[in-house]
Amino acid sequence: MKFFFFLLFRISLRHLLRQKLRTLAALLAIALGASVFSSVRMAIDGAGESFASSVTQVTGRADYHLSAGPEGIPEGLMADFLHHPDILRAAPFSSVYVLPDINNKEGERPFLLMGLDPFLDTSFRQWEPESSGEEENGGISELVTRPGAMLVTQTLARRLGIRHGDSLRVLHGGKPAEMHVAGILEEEGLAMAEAGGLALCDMATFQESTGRYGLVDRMDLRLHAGADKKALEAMLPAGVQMQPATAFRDTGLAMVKAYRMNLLVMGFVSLFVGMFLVYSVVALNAASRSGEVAMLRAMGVAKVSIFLLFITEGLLLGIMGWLFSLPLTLLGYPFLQEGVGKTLETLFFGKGVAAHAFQFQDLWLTLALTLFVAAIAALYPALSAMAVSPKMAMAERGFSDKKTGTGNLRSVTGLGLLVAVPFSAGLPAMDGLPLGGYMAAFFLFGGTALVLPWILARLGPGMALFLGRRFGVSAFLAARQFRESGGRIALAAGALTTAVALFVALSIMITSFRETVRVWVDQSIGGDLFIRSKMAELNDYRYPLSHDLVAQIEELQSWDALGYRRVGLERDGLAFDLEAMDMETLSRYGGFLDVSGTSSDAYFYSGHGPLPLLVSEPALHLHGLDKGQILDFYVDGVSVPFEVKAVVRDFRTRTLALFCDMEALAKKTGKREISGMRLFYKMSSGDGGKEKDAALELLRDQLLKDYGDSVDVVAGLSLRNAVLDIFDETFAVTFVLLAMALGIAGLGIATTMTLRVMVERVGLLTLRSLGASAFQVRSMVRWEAGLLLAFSLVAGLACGFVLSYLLIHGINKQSFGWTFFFALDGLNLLAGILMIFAAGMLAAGPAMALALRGSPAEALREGTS
Amino acid sequence: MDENPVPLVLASGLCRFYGRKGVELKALDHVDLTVNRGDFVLLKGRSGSGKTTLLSLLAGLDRPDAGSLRVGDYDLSPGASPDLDTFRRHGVGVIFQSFNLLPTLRAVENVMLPLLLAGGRQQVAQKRAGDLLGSLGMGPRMHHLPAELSGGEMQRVAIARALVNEPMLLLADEPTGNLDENNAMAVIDLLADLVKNGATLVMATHSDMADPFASHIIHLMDGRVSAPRPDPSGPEASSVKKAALATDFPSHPIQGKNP
Repeated sequence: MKFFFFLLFRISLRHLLRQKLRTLAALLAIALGASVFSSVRMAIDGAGESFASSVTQVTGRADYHLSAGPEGIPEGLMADFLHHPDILRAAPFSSVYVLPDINNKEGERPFLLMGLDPFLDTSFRQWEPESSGEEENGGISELVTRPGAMLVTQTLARRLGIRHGDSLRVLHGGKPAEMHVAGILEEEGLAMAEAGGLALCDMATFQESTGRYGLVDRMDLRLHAGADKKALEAMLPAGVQMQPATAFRDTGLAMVKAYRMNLLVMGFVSLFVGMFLVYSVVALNAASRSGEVAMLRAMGVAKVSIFLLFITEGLLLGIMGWLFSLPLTLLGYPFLQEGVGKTLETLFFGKGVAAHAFQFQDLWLTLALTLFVAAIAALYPALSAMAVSPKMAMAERGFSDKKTGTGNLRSVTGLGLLVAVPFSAGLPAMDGLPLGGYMAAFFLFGGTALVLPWILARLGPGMALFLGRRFGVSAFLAARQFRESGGRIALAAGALTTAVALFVALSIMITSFRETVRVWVDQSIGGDLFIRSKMAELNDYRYPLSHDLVAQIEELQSWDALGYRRVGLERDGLAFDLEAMDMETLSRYGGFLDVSGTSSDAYFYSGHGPLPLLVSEPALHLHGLDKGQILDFYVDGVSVPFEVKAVVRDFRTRTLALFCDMEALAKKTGKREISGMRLFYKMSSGDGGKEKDAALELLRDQLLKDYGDSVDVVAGLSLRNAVLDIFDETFAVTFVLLAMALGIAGLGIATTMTLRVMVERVGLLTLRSLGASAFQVRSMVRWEAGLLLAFSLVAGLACGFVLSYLLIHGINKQSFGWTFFFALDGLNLLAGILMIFAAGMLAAGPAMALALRGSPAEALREGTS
Repeated sequence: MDENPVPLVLASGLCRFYGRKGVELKALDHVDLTVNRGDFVLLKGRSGSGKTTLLSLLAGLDRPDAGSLRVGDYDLSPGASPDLDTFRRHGVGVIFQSFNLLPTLRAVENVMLPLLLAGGRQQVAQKRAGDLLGSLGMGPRMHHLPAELSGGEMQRVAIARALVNEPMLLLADEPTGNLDENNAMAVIDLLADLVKNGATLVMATHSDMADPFASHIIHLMDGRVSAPRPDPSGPEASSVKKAALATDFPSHPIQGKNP
């Protein structure tokens, strides 16, 4: 062991230190990769934990919830359960997001108002008003006795600049409410949920303030050990469900599972690209030290020690790279945290993601992964070094000059991996994760990297001769060099190909996705003006539009109104949003984007049999709901059978969308409510839309004046842009990760070319001694970099197109249930490719300068062949 | 030996110093040298005596710090501004101890290289390189990579590369240093034949093998010329030549074994 460390410190470390540039580049690449991976992982897991912790604080110690969706359950049920022998404790709970009615930015930031029973609730949630010394005038006593009384968190009090005794008017989908601050909550337990953005009040106050008289959102239960759950369920009225208290949290976390994995894979790609550079360093060390290895072997050093020596070199690079990554992670984490948290809130959680602290213990996993990657990268060079025969100590030349004979095996393995791509891509998702798709992507990259040297070797002497004839000796030499040193160049080509393929694939996927979403927005959710209750999405459309408002809209002559009703449904643990709408009006202004079946089959209902239903694409791909199926749902307490007529595109993330005709549904359930309206301007004056804009402005102002406290009125164009903005923000993180991967690949080009120049130093000096001018030498290096880039770009483009197909029709479909139209933004793609090419050529600059360093006289003192 | 010698290399008071950590090392210290066309000059001396430095200056690979140096029409003296690239392409051909063949180029491509660097057309260069390699007995091996050639074969490729542009001066730095005795002798014979056919050669060597063929032997010690040339027809030289001639190996082709 002592001897091993002697070898490690006296030989390996000295080699690494002697090749400072090479080592530094590998360390930087690993550091960047590890930093991206750490930051992404901590950001997404932190956001998930923050959400889970927030939900847990709100859930408290409940075992089960009784709920009936946004409709709520009658509070009379409370008495039945409270006195049931199987029930240990029970407490009601309601919540709604409200907006403070103040004229600044905080007026646009909702907080959660909770309604609970202050006495029953102590068995479930931990919260306490701050002791003010004047107990009789504040706290719980005031909470239950004073109308509109609420306790606010310190965070909310700070944000809104309110304190004990202040009043606050709050807005929601119903009638505005006048609230009174009865105290400030201690910063513990429940007060830590929702990132501190909450207030609580007595259930009676809540019902008065929100207009939900006699209803509670849910009932929290703690059961006695051995309680008969089935008997309890039998007591429930139709439409009320009894679910484990963790269901909401688990559903939320399950929704982000695929997103998490996709992001982690993207983060891992940076580490994967960095792996090429570690391989490059260890492989070149192993090759250049073959004589030394042979000598060590001749002196009796065991094969396994040589193997471990090179593996340890890789591991040392991994550890050092990880250490280098720490400051980068500290710098980059806040940005990723904000981006990822915002995306998760927007797409999946709605609210409840707080900023989360940097946790050092999270970095250990990155260290383990970095070491694994570094060890894998060092494996092949270590095996090559282990195979060096002690006989070579007597030979003049090292093993690097000889063919190792493993080329064919490598190429065959590579081809095998490429052949496995379509099979792997066709595997079904495992536990909701597209593992087959990721394996296919890995096979694609691995196979390409292994086959690249074979392709390079078969580019044929024709390329060198052709380039030589067309562009002179520099191009000829570069092409020959490029072709013969395929193995070494393949490393950089592999790294760059991976990065370019990612760039191309993600560009295509994002362009396709955006284009599909744009068409979907324009066709399926279009309109000139949108009206819905305040914070309708956040509050699950629990507030319908008032009859007055609906009647007023329907009387407008110049506007066509498409009313819709949103109902939250649950079935087999899945959350659905049923959107019942006036299909006849919809068919005049747009429609659905069909995936299978014909959506117009669901526009008309004969009045007999199941209601025609459209289901969104994720319901098909993730849960197997397909046309022809009959589904029963409880809607408004009535069991309604539906028949799936078609599958349509929909890009909602939080729930699965269902569509049916509003009138047909009303006939079945007897309930007529309008959750929102889409208005279309009927008069077309041909003045470029000026008249429409003026009418829209007029109507919006009027509606806001009359109903602004309870409804949101948004111009269609603004909503369309908001949807597309959310889309763009969602992919911003992806682009950051992509930029990192490309940066590392650029580093790879710089290192590869510099290394090539260093390794071929004597050859270059010999060229100078044969009369090559500085221009010719520079030109040769430039040509080599250009060929490497061109080759990688071509390979990357090919891989990128395949990968984009995998992403669109495999990974995305299995992760989120979506597929898209294939769309290509050729100009942007070309611009990106040209930028990569230009950046790569710039990265070769130092190598060009290095190629001219040193006197040609040194060629006399050093040898090559 | 030419009756009316035409000077090709004229060096006078040639100096080359290297500085390292404030200590000046005189690699060449006021060396005078004249090489006539058709001469076969041997540079001898221990390691570090200045042989390679002198060759570097003659090859235009390095510049002298003092003195004057002229090779043909090229003034390589300090202060002069010769076009060194052109001089290296056309004026000299260098043969290296370690051959310095570009490992990624095949034998014929290595030989084509100086022609291509000088702007020659590929087809013309390939034909000329092929012919030259053929005349050196390397025809069957011309499409091999250096790694597939023996040491002797590699050196013959290197000689062909040095000759391909018909330089006025051939320079060889320990051309037999990496070869076994048989191959070394064959290379010496080849070089001697080239001189017989009109080439001018300056060769740095430790070996005595080439002594019988040399027209001048210059001994260097600590950067200075240390002794007059010995008589190539002297008893020691004769015995070397005899020994060399006594070997059974034909001069062409050189027998070699692939590594």
